[in-house]
Amino acid sequence: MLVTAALVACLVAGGCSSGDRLFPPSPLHQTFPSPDELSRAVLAALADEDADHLHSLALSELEFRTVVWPELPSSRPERGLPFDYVWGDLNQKSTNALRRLVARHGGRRYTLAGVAFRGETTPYETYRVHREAILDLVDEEGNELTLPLFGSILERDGEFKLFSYVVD
Amino acid sequence: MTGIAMRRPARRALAAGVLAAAAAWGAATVSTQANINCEPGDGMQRCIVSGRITSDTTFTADSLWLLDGAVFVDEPARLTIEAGTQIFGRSETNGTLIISQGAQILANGTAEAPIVMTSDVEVGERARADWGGLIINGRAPLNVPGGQGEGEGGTGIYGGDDPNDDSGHLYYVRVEFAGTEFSPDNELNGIAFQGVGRMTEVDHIMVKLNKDDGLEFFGGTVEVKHVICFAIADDSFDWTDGWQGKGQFLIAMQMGDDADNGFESDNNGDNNDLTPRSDPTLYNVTLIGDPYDFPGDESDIGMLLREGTAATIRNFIITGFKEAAIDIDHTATFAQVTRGNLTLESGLVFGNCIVEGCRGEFNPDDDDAEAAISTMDFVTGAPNVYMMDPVLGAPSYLCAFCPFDLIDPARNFAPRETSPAVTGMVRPSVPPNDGFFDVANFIGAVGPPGSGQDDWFMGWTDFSLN
Repeated sequence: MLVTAALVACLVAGGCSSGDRLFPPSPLHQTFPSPDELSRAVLAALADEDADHLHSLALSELEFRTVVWPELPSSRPERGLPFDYVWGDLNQKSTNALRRLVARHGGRRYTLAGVAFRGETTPYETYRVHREAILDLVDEEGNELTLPLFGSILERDGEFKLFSYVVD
Repeated sequence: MTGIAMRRPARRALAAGVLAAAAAWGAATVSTQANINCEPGDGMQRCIVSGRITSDTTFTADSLWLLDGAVFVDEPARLTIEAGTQIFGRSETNGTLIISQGAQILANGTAEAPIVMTSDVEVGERARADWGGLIINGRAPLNVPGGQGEGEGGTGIYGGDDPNDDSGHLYYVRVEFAGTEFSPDNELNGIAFQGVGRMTEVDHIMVKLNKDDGLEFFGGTVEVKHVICFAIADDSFDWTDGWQGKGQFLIAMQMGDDADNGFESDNNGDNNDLTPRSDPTLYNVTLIGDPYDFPGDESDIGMLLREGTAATIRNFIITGFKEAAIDIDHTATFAQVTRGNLTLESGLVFGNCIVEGCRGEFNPDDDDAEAAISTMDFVTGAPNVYMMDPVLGAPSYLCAFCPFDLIDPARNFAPRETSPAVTGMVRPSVPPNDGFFDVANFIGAVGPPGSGQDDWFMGWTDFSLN
């Protein structure tokens, strides 16, 4: 109902562009109070080789559409980029990266020692993105490792959510 | 005259003929295209290009060309670009140039008049990701299931069964400030060669300050010569999905504010043993990392070889990378080592592994422990590979931070007289006499004076940072 109302309002107001909020922001699911907690959730699911749970820890299409997309520069109407292009491309890359992650690290039990970010933190209107997460880990043999197991982390209202599994 | 050009004189003559015909045809030719709108400007005509180019078109040097959004060149059209032409990617609309399968780009730059594809933002304010970049889709083989891929950002289908596919040529072309970001974790490459075939000619190209990789090869057989990737934010050179091309005279120079690897070299991430396997042949490579803390702590590994890639790499220099010179990952890649399909010869490795916690020039890790031969044993056991200072660039009294100085005009990638790259201390490997490779009796991408390859990176390039 809310979606319909928003759509009507948008159309009445003179047309909907890709950057308008056609949908009210979705609540983010599977969020955590810190990057460390989020990372521990990823590691636990990885140890269990639970690809479905790992998938759910990253942004869903609805979350990307309603929370992220309206505030991205690439959603501005003059850029002419359809949402489907951007989401489809990111989702494809993230899904591929997740498959590789499970293949390489699935079943391994890592202990988290810390989370750092190699990239910048980008502020948007209602959220921030901490880019290029790097995890300091200890494996079962006690070896210390530093691994980029996933990509960026989104922060909104003090909650943290995995942006994607894309690691460049 | 390059080896490429000598190899196919008939094609070059054809290209010249096309160029001459187009020049005689004049600007009226392009103005007939519904999606090209030209109007007088201050001194030069300004042409805004959008949508799809479906018939032969020329971007002339007497006009400024603005790419408004994604501009596709569709089969059977050929886009000819005159020497000295300036093309701007519109930042507001993610201007991007895409050469579709079966179409061709005929970029006829020269050393004196290179073709420049750059940002439309004011000089001094330009930055990475201002616009999209150049994407070329061909019909050469790749190893993804089904034999075809779909380009990033919905930029079309690529891949096929013709290793001799011809997407045209790029001569003396610079691509600057590109790599637009669709979202965090997702940007475009400077030049994406996607299933591009070996009849495509690429000689003298520079990608500068791109947000994602400088050059990325998605499968294909394309061969490239005289390439500079400068201050690229991700990997300077990246290959995946079965690239089987060749390269000679390749330079990467990184800036530590945002940089990953000199080479990021994959076969296939989902199945490391898919075929055709990535297996390029590369001679005369200089990979220069950024060893300093300023402007940032990135610039990781000189060559990251993984996911089952094979390769033949000769006459290389790797220096200044913060984590390691060479790292081999994944069982399938080590298998290529033991089978003799991933080989190194004649190289200099020096001054890598600088940050706290790094584990040496060859980054021993779990994969090495499980492999029949570790990366270190593989590299140090390779013929004529030494851990010695390549002595590159201007001497310190002229350029204190050379060869790592990003802005000093005294920057020079050439080995000095005392460099083991040219003294004979390290014996170079002789490139195959196959019509592509040039004779090069030295280590690295740039030769000593008199080699004929001592100044190929000068004149047509530009190293300004904004």
